[in-house]
Amino acid sequence: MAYSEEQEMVLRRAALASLILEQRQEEFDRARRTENKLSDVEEKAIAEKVREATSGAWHWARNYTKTYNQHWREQGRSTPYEPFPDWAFFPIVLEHLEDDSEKVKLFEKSRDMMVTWIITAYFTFECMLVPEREVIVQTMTDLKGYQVIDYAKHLYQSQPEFLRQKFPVPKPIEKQANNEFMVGSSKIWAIPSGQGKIRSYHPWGVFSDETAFQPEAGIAYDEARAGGVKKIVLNSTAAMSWYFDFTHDAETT
Amino acid sequence: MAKTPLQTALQKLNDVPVQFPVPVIRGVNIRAKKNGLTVMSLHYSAVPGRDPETEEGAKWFKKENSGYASQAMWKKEQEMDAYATGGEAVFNAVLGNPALYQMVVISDPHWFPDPRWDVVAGFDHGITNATCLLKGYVPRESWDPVTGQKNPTELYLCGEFYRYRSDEWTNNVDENVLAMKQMHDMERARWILADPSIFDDSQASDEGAPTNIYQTYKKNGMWPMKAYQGVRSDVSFVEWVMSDYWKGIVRGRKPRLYIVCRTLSDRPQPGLHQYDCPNLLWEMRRAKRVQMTSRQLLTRNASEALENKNNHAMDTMKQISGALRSPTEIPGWEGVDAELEKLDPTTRQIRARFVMSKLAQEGKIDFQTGQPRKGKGALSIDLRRAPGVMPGRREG
Repeated sequence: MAYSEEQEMVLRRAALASLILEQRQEEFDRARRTENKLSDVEEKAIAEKVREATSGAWHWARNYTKTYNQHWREQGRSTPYEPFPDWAFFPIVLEHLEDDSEKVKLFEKSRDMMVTWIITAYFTFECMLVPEREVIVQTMTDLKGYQVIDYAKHLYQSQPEFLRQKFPVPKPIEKQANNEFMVGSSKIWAIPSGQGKIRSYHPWGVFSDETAFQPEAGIAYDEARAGGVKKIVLNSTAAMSWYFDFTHDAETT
Repeated sequence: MAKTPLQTALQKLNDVPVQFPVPVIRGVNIRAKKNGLTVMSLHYSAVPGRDPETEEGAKWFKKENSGYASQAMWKKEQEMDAYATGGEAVFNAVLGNPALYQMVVISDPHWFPDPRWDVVAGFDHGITNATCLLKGYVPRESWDPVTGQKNPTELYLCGEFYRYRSDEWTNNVDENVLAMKQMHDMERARWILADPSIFDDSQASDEGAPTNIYQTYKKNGMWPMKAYQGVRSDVSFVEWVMSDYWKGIVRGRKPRLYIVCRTLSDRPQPGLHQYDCPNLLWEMRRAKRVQMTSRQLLTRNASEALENKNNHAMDTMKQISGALRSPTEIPGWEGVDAELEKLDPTTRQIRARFVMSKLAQEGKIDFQTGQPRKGKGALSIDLRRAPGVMPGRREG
């Protein structure tokens, strides 16, 4: 069954709301049963757990967070919230993204491969671990950008309590704007396609999703490069476009 | 420490040409661009349950593949073939449909135009952009033996010269003319239509008076050309190709426009193609409408215009097809003659005065000269009456 963009948005909001309720219950239970102050041993144990959970992007994505799936019922799943599937190409994508020898990463893909999810996971993980990371997500429209931000929020919220406490958000997730996700002093925010949108920003990372369908994507890419961005990730399915010409070294006349 | 599959693949990239895909794992490959950047390609077969070589994957493939509206869409969305749909919604309905593609594109290597057919051509000048000469063949007038009606004009686009500036080609007028003069059948071309801007006196010359680009071509021995005066709108061009030349071909009607191409490619093939149009087809398959940003779409309708890029062969096609499509204007005096032929000599005298004044009142002939008037933007092309060779080239 296919959902419209608005329906998908409602479902995502419902999913987020249910997670938030769960967390509040956890907080309530903890307040009733445990002391706020932790002993050194407990703190050390938690630090060890955090270190283990964040030892690698793939390790974290696979074991300490969850994605959501709007089609879970039709696909016979027991829950809409599941960890990233154990697909062999996910760690390869993350290894490629983590490699700093080249700042531009170009992806082309078949449909429905969860590539946007895994790239969002990479940027969310970076923002949690490294202070003052700024990442811009550029998509065809604002609404599509909000979806990527929702992915990031969901990945953050789906983590166990000890990770959320270790990497707190400056503002409760439900109070953060649709177009931004803030964690610690880092943030990811969404902008629509088009030239001039990235100008005046100097983010650490730019994630252009479905680049082949974005008008003026070539100009936006040049603007990102000129802005000193350290990680530029372009991802798209196939379409006759600037992105197609660019990735294929196509001659134009 | 052992290398990861990605590290191994990246190392192999040093030993293969650019754009050569190196497999990382099943369904994932990586290739290098000219500028050294790498492109990672993620095919659905990388997902365990979708690898068609497995039983589960074969089932998935069968189910998903049959669910798409067309194989072209499947190829585009899942096989990452951007060309599959043959141009974004412009010529897609025909070029993206394998059965219709077969109808309008002649790929038989043994096909050649009938030597009795008329030759026409379109020309687009460019220096940094491509220079293009497109050759078309128009079969002679024929009548349906059953209905007795005249068959509609057909056009076979078959032959092109396509060159743009590159390391090995400066794309200057002189070298282009030399190459174009090698094109077969052009010596008997009825006409060559060119972009009107090359006839404007906009080029500074040594003598002082400004000259035009056409003069430069002429000096270098190019055949005489005429300025195209027909409709220049891209939107109309697409419309007349799709709904006129290719009208009803879905229902089995014979197309009136054919493109000859035996060497289809996903990149331009600069050079002289005597009986082939690979670059025209390349452009048509890439044709797309102007994309607008979400902000622009808030206040404007989506654009119908085509992107003004990679459209040089299409411009020449527009000139040829647009010219042939315009109804031929029969000179006024011929109309009068035809009218009077049926009458006896006495009535003819009286009738002639009446017919002449009627034509003059309708603005079809000039009162003074009796010659047809040149209407604004009207294009008068009559293949039947054109001289056997180009004006000024009547030799032997």
